[in-house]
Amino acid sequence: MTDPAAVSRADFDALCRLQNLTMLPGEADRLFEAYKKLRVLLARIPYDGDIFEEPSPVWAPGVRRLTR
Amino acid sequence: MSAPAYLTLAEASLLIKNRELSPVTLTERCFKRADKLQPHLHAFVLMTRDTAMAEARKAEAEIAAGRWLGPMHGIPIGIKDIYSTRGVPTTCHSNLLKDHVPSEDAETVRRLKEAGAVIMGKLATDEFAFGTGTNLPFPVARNPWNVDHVPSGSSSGSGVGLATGQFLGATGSDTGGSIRSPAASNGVAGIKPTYGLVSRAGIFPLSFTADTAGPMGWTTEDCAIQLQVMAGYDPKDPASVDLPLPDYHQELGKPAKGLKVGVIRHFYEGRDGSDPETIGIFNQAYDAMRGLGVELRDVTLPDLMDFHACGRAVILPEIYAIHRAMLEKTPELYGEITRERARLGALVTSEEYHRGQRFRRQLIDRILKSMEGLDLLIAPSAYGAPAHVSEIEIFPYFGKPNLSMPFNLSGQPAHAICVGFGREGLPRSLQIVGRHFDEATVLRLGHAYEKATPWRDRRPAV
Repeated sequence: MTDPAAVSRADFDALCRLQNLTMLPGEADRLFEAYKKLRVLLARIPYDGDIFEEPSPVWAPGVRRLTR
Repeated sequence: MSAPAYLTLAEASLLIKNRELSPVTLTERCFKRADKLQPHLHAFVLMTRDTAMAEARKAEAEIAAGRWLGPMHGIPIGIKDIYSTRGVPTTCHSNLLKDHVPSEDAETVRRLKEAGAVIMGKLATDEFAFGTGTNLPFPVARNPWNVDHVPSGSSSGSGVGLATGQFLGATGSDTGGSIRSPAASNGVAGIKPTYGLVSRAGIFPLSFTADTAGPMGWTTEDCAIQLQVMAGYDPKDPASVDLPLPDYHQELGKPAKGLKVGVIRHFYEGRDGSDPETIGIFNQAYDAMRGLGVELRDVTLPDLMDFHACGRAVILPEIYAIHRAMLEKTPELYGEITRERARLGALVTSEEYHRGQRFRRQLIDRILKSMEGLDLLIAPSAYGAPAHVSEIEIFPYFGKPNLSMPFNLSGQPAHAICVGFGREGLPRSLQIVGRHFDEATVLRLGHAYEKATPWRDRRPAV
């Protein structure tokens, strides 16, 4: 798996342009650093490509699972 | 009758019911205290003095005529400024909405008014319940125990005003701890109800997945009285659940003896940011609960950081989705920190968001499995003393994981109570967590603990 923090500034800037995020220079620098940390944090969330779990109301009994 | 310097909501309610205390006198006293403290603590963003006094006079006349509406009748309360109030500005503590005057009350406000509550005004909050900065229309609230420390948010004005007796009840909202954190930092009580129990209609959203609205009070009993009015089905909130409600106040009278409680020590002990003094305070609280006949045993949940990561994956993009148009059109109107935090959500992919949602379901299952054979869970509400004001971070997402988040993700009721004070004089807090829609048991333990310990006798020296 690639390093989740390995994001280039050019890719980040392109992503910000796509999302129409216009920022002051200092803000962009801080957001870039935060984005790299966010990538690492979100990489903790497991990915299971074989199971789809449909988000359901928290009080609903059971979990609806569809096996691919 | 001369009322003591501080009254709880429950005490005032009983005196009013028995016509031993005038709602007008009580409201005047609260405004007098608020006038004195507002320049220093900034709990309010707006006082609605004229309408509040009119409501108090109406309550007094109704009660004198034998038409007592219930325990909220004639009680002065404050409303967090993300709750819509008809004809009264609802700013979300933001320049973006500083001229916004809703045409309808939030459903919860409507219910509180119908129950006869006296609304003293709108309360300070983190901007849109998640940010701050210097570019705000009102000062930020200050911690009454020590103004150099944060009151925490986002329901900051609610916590500050309750701790100092400026009002006897208050509304809050909790998406990632925004009721429990200010309850902890200000030494008050506050319950995040089960997702779906209390209507969010008319409350400015932050995260559709995790938003909850609930009451805060000086005591658990005060929270129970308010929850009774605020809870209940509302078709205007798509998450609202139509279930019969118990009598929360009556349920407080049941003994805590025999309750089985799981202690989630690993959320705090051994983690960066924990301290021995706070662990000692928590252990004393556990001992006090054992003294009530509560059975405690340690339980293990998934790593707190898993909940934290999941919460960020879900909540950040939902915040961005709500704020995108305003961020693009008028970013300069936000507080600097609010603006920067909101943008981070634009960078979460849809796959990450949905992976987070699926992971959330797994985490819920694991919490509920850990509760087999147990009635409740207990965990810290906060890491220790509230942070110094100089420690506010733009992105507080990458250090210590959020202690509140697990139960925002799970949707379970979680109630913060004060369990003591550190040597520096700042409060400490635990959260009591129940099964979905079992607020009654959560509140029962909180009430029994407060009655058995001296912490409700101490107020800030203001």
